[in-house]
Amino acid sequence: MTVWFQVGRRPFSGPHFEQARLPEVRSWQWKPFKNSARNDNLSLLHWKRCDDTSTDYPFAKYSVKREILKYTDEQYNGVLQQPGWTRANTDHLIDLANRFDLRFIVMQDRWDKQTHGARTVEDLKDRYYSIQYRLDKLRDSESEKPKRPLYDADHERLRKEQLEKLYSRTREEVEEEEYLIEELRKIEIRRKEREKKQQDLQRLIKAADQLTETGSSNKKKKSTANKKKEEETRSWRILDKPLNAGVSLRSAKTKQALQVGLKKSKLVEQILTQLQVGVSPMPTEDITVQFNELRNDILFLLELKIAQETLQFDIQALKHRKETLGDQAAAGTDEAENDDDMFADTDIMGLNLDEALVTAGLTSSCSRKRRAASEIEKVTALLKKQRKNSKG
Amino acid sequence: MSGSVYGGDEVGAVCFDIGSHTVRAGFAGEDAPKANIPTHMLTGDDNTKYHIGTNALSYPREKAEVVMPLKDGMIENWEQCEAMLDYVYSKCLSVDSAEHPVMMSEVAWNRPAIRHKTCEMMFEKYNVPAFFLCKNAVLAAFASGRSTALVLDTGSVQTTAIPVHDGYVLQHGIVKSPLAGNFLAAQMREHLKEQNVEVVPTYKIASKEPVKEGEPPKWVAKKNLPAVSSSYHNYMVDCVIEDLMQHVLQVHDRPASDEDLNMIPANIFEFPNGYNAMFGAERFKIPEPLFDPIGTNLRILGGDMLAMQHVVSSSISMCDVDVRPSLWSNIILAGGTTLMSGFSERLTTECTAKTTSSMKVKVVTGGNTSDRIFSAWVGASILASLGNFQELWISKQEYEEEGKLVVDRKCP
Ligand SMILES: Nc1ncnc2c1ncn2[C@@H]1O[C@H](COP(=O)(O)OP(=O)(O)OP(=O)(O)O)[C@@H](O)[C@H]1O
Ligand SMILES: [Mg+2]
Repeated sequence: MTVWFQVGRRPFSGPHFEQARLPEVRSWQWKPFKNSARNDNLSLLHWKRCDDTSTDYPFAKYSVKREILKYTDEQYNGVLQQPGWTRANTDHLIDLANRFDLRFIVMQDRWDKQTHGARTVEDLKDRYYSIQYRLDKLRDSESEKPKRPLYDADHERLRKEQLEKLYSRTREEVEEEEYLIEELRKIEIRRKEREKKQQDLQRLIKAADQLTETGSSNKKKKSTANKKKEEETRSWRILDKPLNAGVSLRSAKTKQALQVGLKKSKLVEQILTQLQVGVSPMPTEDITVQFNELRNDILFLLELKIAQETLQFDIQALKHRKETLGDQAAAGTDEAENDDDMFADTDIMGLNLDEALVTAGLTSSCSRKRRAASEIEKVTALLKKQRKNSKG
Repeated sequence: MSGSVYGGDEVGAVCFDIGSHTVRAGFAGEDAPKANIPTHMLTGDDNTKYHIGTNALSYPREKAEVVMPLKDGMIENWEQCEAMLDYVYSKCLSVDSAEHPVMMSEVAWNRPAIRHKTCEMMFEKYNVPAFFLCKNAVLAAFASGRSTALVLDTGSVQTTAIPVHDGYVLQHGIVKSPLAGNFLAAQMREHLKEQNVEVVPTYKIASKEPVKEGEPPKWVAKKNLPAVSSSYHNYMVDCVIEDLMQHVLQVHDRPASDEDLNMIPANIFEFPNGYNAMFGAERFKIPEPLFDPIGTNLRILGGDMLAMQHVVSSSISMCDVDVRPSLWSNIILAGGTTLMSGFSERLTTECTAKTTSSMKVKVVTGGNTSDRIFSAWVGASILASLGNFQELWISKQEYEEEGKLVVDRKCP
C-alpha cells in the first residue's frame, strides 16, 4: 500500500485495478552535496533523485540575510556621535543586530549590561534608527528629504508605559471598570427615555394650549411663527394633508385615514359611534371640516389620556421607591395620593375612555404594571408588619 | 529532498536530548527517538567502567554506585557523558559517529565553558562532520510548530519557565522552581512511610504470592544477593515509587476541599512484592503543592518553591510588554511530570485567575500527550531535517579554523 502512495497513484482505480500497473519507480541516491549558502566546504549526504541534475543545494536560495548598518570611522566621528553612546556601545549594538537579525527584544535581552550599561528596547531602537537616519541624510544630502522618518522613542516609551499599566491592573479593578461602564450605559439609556417622554409631553401640552388659543381667536390671524409652531405640534395630527391629485369626491375627505396605528384609528371610530356621529356623515363642505376637526380632537384626547396613564404609573413607581427608601416621607406620599384622586375621575363627557383603551389593548400594559406595583406595595406592607410583629 | 517534514531534507543527523532523568536519542526526521534510556548508570570495574541501560541497572552488583553525568541539567562528569554517548552510538543506534551530523539539546542556562567543552568533545572524540547545540525550550516550541512561546518544562529535578521569542530564549525571563518529579517522589516516599508501607525493590524479590488488598505481602527474598550500595537500593526504590506515581497521581481541576477529595474514586496499586493498597485522597493531595505550595503542609522544604502558575506569570512579567500577550496565549508544556492527568486544565484555571479578562490565556496541549516527554527531541528532529537549517551547522572545518569558541557565534 505504501508503495502506491509513494509513487503518487491512488491505491484503487475502480474495476481497472487489475490492469493498473506500477509506473517505473524513480531511483534516488544517497549523495553528498554542498550548500552555497554556507561559506565553508561542508559536505553532507542526502537523498537526491538520480535524474536531478541541479548542482546547487535547492534550499540555498532561501537563505536571506538582512542588511545591517555599517559605518566607517570617518562617518562615525563625523555625524554619528551622540551623548550617552560611546563607540564601543554602538559597535556592540551593531554586533547584536547582526547576530539577531535586528530582533530588538532579543538584542536587549543579550545586551552586555556590565560593560555597556543597562538599556531598554527603546534606547536600542532609538540609537539604531538615528544612525540609519543620519547615514541616509549623509548619502542623500543632494536630494531634499531623507527617505525614512525618525523613530519616535518617547512616544514608544509612553505607549509601553500605558500598556504596562493596562496589564498590571488587578482583576477587581478590571471588573469594577466593566461594572461602571455598564452602569453608565444604563443611565444613558434611562436619560434618553426620559428625554423622549418629556418631549412627547411637551408636544401634547403645546397642542393643548393651541387648541384653547385657536378656539378663542381667529385662525386666519396667526403669525408665521405661530404657524410654524403649529406645524410642529401637529406632526401627530393627520387630516390637513391634501388628497391625491386629481378629481375626488368630497366624502373622500371624511374617509381619509388617520396617520396613526390601526388600533388608534379603530378607537377613534368606536368613539365616533359612541357619540352617535357615525363614521360617514353627510359630506357637505361644513360637515366634512367639522368631522375632521372632531376626529382630530378625539385623537388628541386619546393621546392625552395615554400620557396621563404613563405619568400616573411613573408616580406610582416613584412613590413605591420612596416608600422602600424610607418611611420618613409620609407627608409626601399623602400628597401624591391626593394627586391620584384627582386623576381617578377619568370619565370625560360620560365616555368610558378607560374601558375603551383597555379593550383596544393600548394601555393594558400600563395598567397591568400599575396593578403589579400596587400588589408589590401591599406585599411589602405585609412583610413590614410581619417583621414588626416578630420583633415585638 | 524527501522526508516527513515540510520543506525537509534529511541528512542523516543524530539528535540527542540528555535530561536528568532520561536520555533520548535517534535520527532526525523520525517522529520518536530510537533510544529512551535512564540517565543514571552503575559504576563498574576496570573492564567496563559503567553499566548503562534499563537492563544493566536492574542487575544488582556488589558496591556499584548509581551515578549520572548531569548536575542542574548541565553536563558535569565528562567521562560518564562519553560513556553514555558511546553506549548510544554502539548499542542503540549502531552507527559510526563520524558519518552523522549531531544536534544536541542544552538547558537554557548552560554555562559557556560547558558549551565549549561539549563542542570540543563532539568534534575531537566523536569526529562528527557537523554539530549544533540548541536550547531545549526552543526545540520544545518548534515541536509544536511555534517560534514564540512560554515553555513550562516540569521534568524530574526542577520546573522551569522559559520565554522563547522568534526562536531565541529570552535569558532574563528564565524562572525556576524545585517543584517537579523528584519533589513529588519525595512526598510519596514520606506518605508511604507514614502508612508503614515498606517499598521492596524488584531486585530483592525471588517470588511472590497474590494477597488481598491491604494484607501483608507474601514473598520470598532472593538469596545470595551481593552487597549493593545504598545509592543503588535507593535508586531501585525510586523506580517503584515512580511507577506508583505514574499510576495513581492526578491533579485536581481546582483547589480541592477535603470533601471533594473524599469523593474521588480510589486507585489500586500492586507493589513488586505483591502488597497492594488503595490510594484515595492522596492521589490528589500529593501533587497539589505544584499549584499551592503554601496551602499544603509541606514535608520537604527547599529554596524558592514557586507554584507552576507563579513560575509562568513571573517569567512573563519579566519580558517586554509587547511580547506578553503572545506568551500568555502560547504556554507550552514539556517534561514528564506535566503528563499527570489534569495538569494542563489546572494550569489553565490558575493562569486565567492570574490575568485580567482582556488577556487571552491558552495552554497548548496539541497532539499526543506522551509526545510531551519527547518534545525537545522531536523539535531537534524537525530542526535538523529542515532544508533551510543545513546552512547553520558548525562544520568540522569551521571548528578547526575557529576552535571551540565557534559555538558562541553559531549557536545562540
Ligand atoms: N505519566 C507520568 N505521570 C507522572 N509523572 C511522570 C510520567 N511520566 C514521567 N513522569 C515523571 O517525569 C520525570 C521525567 O521527566 P523528563 O523525562 O521530562 O525529565 P528530564 O528531561 O529527563 O529531566 P530534567 O528536565 O529535570 O532535566 C520523572 O520525574 C518521572 O517520574
Ligand atoms: Mg527535560
